[in-house]
Amino acid sequence: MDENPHVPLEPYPCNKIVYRAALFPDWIKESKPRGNQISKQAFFRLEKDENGVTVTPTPETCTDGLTDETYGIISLKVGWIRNAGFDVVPDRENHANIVGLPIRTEETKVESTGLAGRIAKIARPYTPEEPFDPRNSN
Amino acid sequence: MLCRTPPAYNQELGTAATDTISFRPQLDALLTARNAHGYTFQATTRAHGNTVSYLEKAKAILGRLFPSPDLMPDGEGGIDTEWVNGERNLTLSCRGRENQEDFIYWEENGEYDGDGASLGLLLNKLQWLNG
Repeated sequence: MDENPHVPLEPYPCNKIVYRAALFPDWIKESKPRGNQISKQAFFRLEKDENGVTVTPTPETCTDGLTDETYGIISLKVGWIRNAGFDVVPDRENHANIVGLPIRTEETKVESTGLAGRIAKIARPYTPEEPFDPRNSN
Repeated sequence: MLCRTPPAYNQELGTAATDTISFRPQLDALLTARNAHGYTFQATTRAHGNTVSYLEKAKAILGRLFPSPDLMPDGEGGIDTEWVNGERNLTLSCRGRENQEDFIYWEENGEYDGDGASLGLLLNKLQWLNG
């Protein structure tokens, strides 16, 4: 039997929630009266982000491989990411990328800022007791 | 609300600052922020100096009308200074490297645009933000 080790992973369903570690303290901002908001800087795709912006399929795995301190967890619903014009593509069992964001360059800096802001608006801080459901927000 | 930029606002960064900004300590703290996870959170002296210059001059002109911003590293040694008023968002992005141009980004109801930074544009957009 011909076994191909590079079989693509199954796409995530739209109702799946993905997670991203907050890598800077203010990526999750306290904001009144709206509640905590996510900074657009959390979704800037820099030159180092070759394949997109990292997310993970579980909150437990979003700090895998990270050696520096993290400051909470951001959650996003895959369907809402797709509705915003992007996609989430898994590339390993516990890793995926938000794709469709331009790398932040001199030519794309305004677009990159605007698109990162769109994703930040549909992201929420993750709390284990209160799973994020965008239908209940605002 | 002013629809045009008054002539007095067309001063560029060479003008001497006459006011101080209350959030200067937070701004200065970005000079010693710890880089992590492959991001450059520590602001460069270029980004810090340009941010201080724009904000002090804007504050000197607008006085108490100058809204207090949020400060955020852009992850590349730059500083994003952000204001939000309802659905309006304004960001002054002072970039970390000499070969990067500072710019001003504005957004309302999901529509966004931006242009190279200048004191005149910043003042114009701060008035738009508050309008």
